[in-house]
Amino acid sequence: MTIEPALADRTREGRVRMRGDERGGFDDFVAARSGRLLRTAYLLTRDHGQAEDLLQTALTKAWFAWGRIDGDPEGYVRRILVNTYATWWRRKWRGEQATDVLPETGVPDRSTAVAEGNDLWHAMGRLPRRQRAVVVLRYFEDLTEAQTADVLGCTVGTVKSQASKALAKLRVDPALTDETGDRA
Amino acid sequence: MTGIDELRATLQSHAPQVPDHETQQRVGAVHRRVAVVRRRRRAAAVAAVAAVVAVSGAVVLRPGSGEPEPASLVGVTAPDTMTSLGYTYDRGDLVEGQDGSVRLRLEASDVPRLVSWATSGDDQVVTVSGLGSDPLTYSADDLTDWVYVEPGVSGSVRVEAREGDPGLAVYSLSPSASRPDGYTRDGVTYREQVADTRLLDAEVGDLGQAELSLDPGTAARARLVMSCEGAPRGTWIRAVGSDGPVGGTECGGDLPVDAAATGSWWTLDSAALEGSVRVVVQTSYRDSTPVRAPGLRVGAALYTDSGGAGNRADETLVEDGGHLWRRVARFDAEAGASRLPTTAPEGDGPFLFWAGGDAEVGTLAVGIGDERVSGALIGSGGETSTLVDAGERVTLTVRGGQATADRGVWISYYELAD
Repeated sequence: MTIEPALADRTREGRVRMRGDERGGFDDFVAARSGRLLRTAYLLTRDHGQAEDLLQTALTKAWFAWGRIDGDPEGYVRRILVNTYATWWRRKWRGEQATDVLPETGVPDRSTAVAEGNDLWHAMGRLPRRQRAVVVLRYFEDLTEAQTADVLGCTVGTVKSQASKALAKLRVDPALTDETGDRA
Repeated sequence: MTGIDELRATLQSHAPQVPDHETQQRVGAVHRRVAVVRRRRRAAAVAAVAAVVAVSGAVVLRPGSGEPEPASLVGVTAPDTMTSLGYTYDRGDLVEGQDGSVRLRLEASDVPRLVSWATSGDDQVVTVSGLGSDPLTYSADDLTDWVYVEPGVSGSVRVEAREGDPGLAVYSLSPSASRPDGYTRDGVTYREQVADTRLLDAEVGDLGQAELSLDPGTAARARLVMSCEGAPRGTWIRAVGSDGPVGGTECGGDLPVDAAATGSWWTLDSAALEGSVRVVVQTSYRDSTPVRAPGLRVGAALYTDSGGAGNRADETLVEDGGHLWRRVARFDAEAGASRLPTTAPEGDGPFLFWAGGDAEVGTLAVGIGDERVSGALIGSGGETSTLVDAGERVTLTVRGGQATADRGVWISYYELAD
């Protein structure tokens, strides 16, 4: 599936310039591109329901700005998505508390029985939101530090320090070391 | 972790693939959201006009005359105080609506508040919305139910009456009234009774004190709650039982007024309870050196624990929103089944539900009516809850995984018990 004919002209830089008409191409964009954006949302939220909710929230915001987008709409929506995630406070749900760091629970640690990849996945879940966003943008979206800074609305230096802190945290995460963690 | 390549591989392997048919459904879902936002924006524009009119029509009564006198709210006497879970709240602003509705904007406060309502008509059924909650139908008597507003939260509360005009009353935690039975120090209280658990021991330390010790007595099982404030970022509060560490979390936020009703708790078994339980705020997750910080304050308590499977499906009494709730229905999916359609009880709502499940991986999607809403990470023991109207359809579905063979998903409904 391709969106280009319905959407716009490609510029020489390969970016998509939106037509000036009212939300022309929005539906095609959602159908064609939202699958990838959902993957980003899932890597951020680690929850299918929340990922879908986050993505639809971002797409809804983008719909109202659709005629004003000058440039790559996917980048625009990704910026909304990541920044919505970084500041998301789900007040309605009482059982889950939005915190930067997931608290340990009384549930026995199952990680010893699963592959190291799953350990790393769980360890990523313990990263603060901004650091997790940097990790996803840098190492899943393959954005440069400058592009990541643009999406997050921060400096390149902040991206570097957040990435460095994230990697440092992952390297000492108890699930990824040989040391015995808490019984929890 | 061995490196960036491993990180990339992990991200790629966990990124879900989305079938095309779901993207088509998403198009429709987004348009429905757009329609909702447009309706709200139109309503807000109308309300802005109405607000100008309401300046002369709405009655706003504020305290401060200094003379105790009965306060009337749409013809109903508003008591000087209200009580919630043993805490006393003092009456503040009263706002009377017109044309069947009333709306009140609340600025953030340092103390918890209750926003209650009354109606001028005989029919006391109202719809309450705001503060991040969808509209819910309440049928409680005048000024007997409320929306609980946590410290630091701001927003609007709107009440629409089915008959007559509604009024809103704001009650703030009393600074002078005595606290509930239990342990209180420096404004932090661990209640003697929290749902069906009983206080075993509690302590709030001196400023700068990084370690506490709790005595479980002869308890064979116990629940631990602990929190801290005033510590540098990245510090951890950790509990150590007689057989080693039992849990911890990052230190942050403020010590809550109702300390046992907020945050996570950990279950300790007999092996951990053979001696005292030590609670320490340490420099970092890895560094167990106690923190030195002049503004540090730590509080912790042990409560009885009746056992069971350790999730809320087994609890007959729970607390939420300043209320005590009693379980009235419980549904369990058949072993291994990953979908559980249910209907909330009929009667005077709303009802509280807690839902969860048991699966190695995956998430629990919760659908209320025709709306699919967020759920919980059940792979990590997550549970979730909210209020729903009486008779509402609630469907649980495990997504991205499979419920375990011996126990699937569950949901318990609760009615007000206070």
